Amino acid sequence: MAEKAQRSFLKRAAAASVAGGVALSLAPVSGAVAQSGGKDTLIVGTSGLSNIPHLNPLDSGWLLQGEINNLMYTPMIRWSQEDFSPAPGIAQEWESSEDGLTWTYRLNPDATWSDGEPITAEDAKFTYDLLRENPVLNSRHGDLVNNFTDVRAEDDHTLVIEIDEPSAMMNHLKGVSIMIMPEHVWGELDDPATYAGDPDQPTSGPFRLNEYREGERITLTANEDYWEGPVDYDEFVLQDYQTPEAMVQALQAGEVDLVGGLNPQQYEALESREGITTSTGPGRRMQSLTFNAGARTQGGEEFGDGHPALTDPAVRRAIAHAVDKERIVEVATGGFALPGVSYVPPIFGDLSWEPTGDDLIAADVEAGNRLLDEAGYDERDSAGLRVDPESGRPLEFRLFYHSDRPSYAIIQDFLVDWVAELDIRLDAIAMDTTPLNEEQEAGNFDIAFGTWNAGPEPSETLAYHTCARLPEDAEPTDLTFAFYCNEEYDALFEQQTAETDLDTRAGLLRDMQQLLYQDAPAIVLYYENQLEAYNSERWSGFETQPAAEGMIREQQGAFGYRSATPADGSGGEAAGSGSDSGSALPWVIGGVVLVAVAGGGFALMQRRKTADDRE
Amino acid sequence: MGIQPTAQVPALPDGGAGTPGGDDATVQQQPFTPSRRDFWRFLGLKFSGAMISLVLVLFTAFFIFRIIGGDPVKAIGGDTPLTPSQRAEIEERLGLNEPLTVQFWEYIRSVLTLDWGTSYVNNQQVTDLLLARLPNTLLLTGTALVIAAGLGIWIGARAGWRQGSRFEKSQVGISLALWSAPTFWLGMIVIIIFSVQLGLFPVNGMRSTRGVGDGFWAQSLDVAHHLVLPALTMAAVIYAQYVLIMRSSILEERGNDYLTVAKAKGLRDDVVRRRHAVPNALLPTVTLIALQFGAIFNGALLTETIFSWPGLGLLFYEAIRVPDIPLLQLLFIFFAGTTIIANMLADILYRFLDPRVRSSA
Repeated sequence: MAEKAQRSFLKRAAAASVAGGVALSLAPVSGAVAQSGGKDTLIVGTSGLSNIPHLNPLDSGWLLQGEINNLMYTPMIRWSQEDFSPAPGIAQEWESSEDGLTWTYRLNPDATWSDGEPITAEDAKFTYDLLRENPVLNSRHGDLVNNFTDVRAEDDHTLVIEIDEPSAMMNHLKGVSIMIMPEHVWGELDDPATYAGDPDQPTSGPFRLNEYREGERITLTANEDYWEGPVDYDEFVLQDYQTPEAMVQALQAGEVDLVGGLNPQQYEALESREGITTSTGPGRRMQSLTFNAGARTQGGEEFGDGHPALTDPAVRRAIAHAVDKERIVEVATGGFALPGVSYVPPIFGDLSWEPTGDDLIAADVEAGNRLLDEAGYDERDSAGLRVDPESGRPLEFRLFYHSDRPSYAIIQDFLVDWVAELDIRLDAIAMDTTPLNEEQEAGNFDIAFGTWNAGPEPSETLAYHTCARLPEDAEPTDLTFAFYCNEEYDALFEQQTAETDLDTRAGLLRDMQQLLYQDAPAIVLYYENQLEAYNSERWSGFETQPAAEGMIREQQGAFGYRSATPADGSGGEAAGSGSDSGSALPWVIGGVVLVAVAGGGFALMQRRKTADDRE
Repeated sequence: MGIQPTAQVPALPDGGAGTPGGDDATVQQQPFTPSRRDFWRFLGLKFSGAMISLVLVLFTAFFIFRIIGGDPVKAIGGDTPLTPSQRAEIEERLGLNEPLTVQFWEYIRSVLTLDWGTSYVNNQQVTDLLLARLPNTLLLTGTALVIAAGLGIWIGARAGWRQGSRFEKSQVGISLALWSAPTFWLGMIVIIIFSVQLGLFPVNGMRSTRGVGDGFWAQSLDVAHHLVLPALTMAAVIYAQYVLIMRSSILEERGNDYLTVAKAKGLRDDVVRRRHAVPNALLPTVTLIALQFGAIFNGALLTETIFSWPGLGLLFYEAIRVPDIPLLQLLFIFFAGTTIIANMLADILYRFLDPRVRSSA
């Protein structure tokens, strides 16, 4: 019985493998046919899609959610493609009263939802009221709307907002962070905070949702009647990849059209590939060394175990003198970065400050040593380290860095050597992100090496250095970077918050950066470039933000995706050697023949072997 | 099945013929009962052992994911910094502001009511998330297991039969080399050769992004096309176990008299192996398959991650980065539970397959 069963199992297995082999060998053919199905689909590869919880445009904390929001909705006020300055969106123009407390926004009368309904001031009023009343949404946008005292629609296309305190934010209404929702549909939702994305929803942007496969992909369909002009293709897909390597392979295989977030090695490897065009430009992400400038509460109670010498700006500045940012850019990023200055990257135009003349803290160890001598750190201990005259402790600092970033491991080596020339010792300690953050938030650190992503509204980042961000009780907090507090800086911060003239405010923001640079609660090492690549046999025309040498992905807008055009208007051939069906065909035929021969041979052998039994 | 050398001693002629109670009856029935009573005792032991393991798993699941650390609030907040009010709102929504004891009782309640709660990340029932990914995992790991076991047994039997041959050496060498290859490395190599260079298979994922139409066959073919590389990669890594076990048990059988007898009957070598040696040598392999059966529910963390295959392994990997504690708890219990049950079933199955276990249990 066992024999029989085994024999029939073998037969079935053979049959199944033959059938399976044929099916699998045929599959590439069917794939190739499907590719020329007539639809133009822009496929963008990404990672971290599984991080995003839902597609609620009013409760979006992730960059990826922002990218999707920008494709589906038009904000009241955009960040311009040129330099991130406020630019018309649904609102064409806006003005404030003399006292800066009444703001009037005139909406574009041509603006419509994708279902044909006009976008009105009532929709805007509905949305802002929702943000004021709904606790979940308010916790996300309270910084803007809690200042509102009244929102009203004067007519279909005029929105008036009364505010309590003058606010610079009224000039951009948080840009792309807040999208207007259609009252005629959202008014019917029981709890808009639990909205997670719905394909039937009308949208105000170039696309609408088609399918959301959580953690896998998001598919959007182009709105053919988009009021600002439809895009040149039919579908947009955001496809998730678990590893950047897989994403690069998929680009080479023609499965994905555009990828970002590459590392310099991947970028350089793709540069030489035919059919693939690379694109790079300064980005928004910066890497910095943050000092523990004296962890304490609002009331002045000290906590944590930071080295007391680091509360002295002279020590921090001296260390800044020892750091050669140009060299770091060269060795750690392959040149794909800009040396850092302060917390507003240069892509944000006149909001960003550049040191000149005497302001510049140049890479100059001599200057650093002089600074320390003058500040009284001229004694040495037995190990040759400078000694803090106040506490009597040698200048030996812990440098915490993230263990999962290879470039940090390279950079810390340089830092340790450079700072040693000041007779200061750095003990570099690699840590996982979670414990590192926990120690930093509790003030249990000297220097932390980390990263930050700056947005187009600088005050969101600059607020991290205000005294108001010190904790009330001696408890861990992630609201301050360095436990820094400077009244002069705070005064500037208050001033810019209320300043509604864009140029004047930019000046105040630059003053704040200058102050931070001089006081050095942190050393911004470099601003990372965005490294991207796309399939240029299929696509062209990607515009960047900023317009000159900017990025395609992770824009504060949808300029890159909106400007994309299919290369030959028909989807085109895939890049890379393997993906075109022409070269795959012999393999397919070969596969089928091989499987058929093997299957036949196996069957014959079986027949011959069992000849005795049958006889 | 061969003869079963168990305690099936025939009843005495007058056994149980109305002898009312007393010592006699017990004595007379003794030859009957041991196997059945032992079986129930055996079953009870195995079952209670499994239950104890399960209870331990339940407790472990609560603590282990709270010990590993991580800040779900930050992960939920996104890339943008959170204000204190946002942080407080999220903590309250997730119940993270409750003391650990309260959270523990809440957990016990959820275990007892089988209401496993909702994911931190997207507010969906974690059971729904698990059920949505389970078929994908079963497809991948099931296919890989069938390929690995089928191929492994086939190669192992032949390798063991021809001990010392070039075939044996090469096959054992190949399977051991693959067994030692890190899955993520092998996966990348396979992708580079078969997807990027030859363009035969998709790089990863489970469905084509460019769409293949809505037909059932088109969709199935598409999934099958995506399945080839991950299933083969996974099978390549695990099939060595089957090769080695099958080979060694064939080696054990080879010297046995009954094979010499079979050969003496004039049966061809192949037939002797196939009909006599292999069925007897299959036993350890069957056990291995039964044990692995639990593993097919566990997903394949590495394979699924490299190929972005949306299964339970990938779900676990994604959840642990948050950490999405309700989802992690459910997955942990599900993985451990299915493994414990599979092991228990393997023990029981083994008893039926191998008379020696039955008599010694």
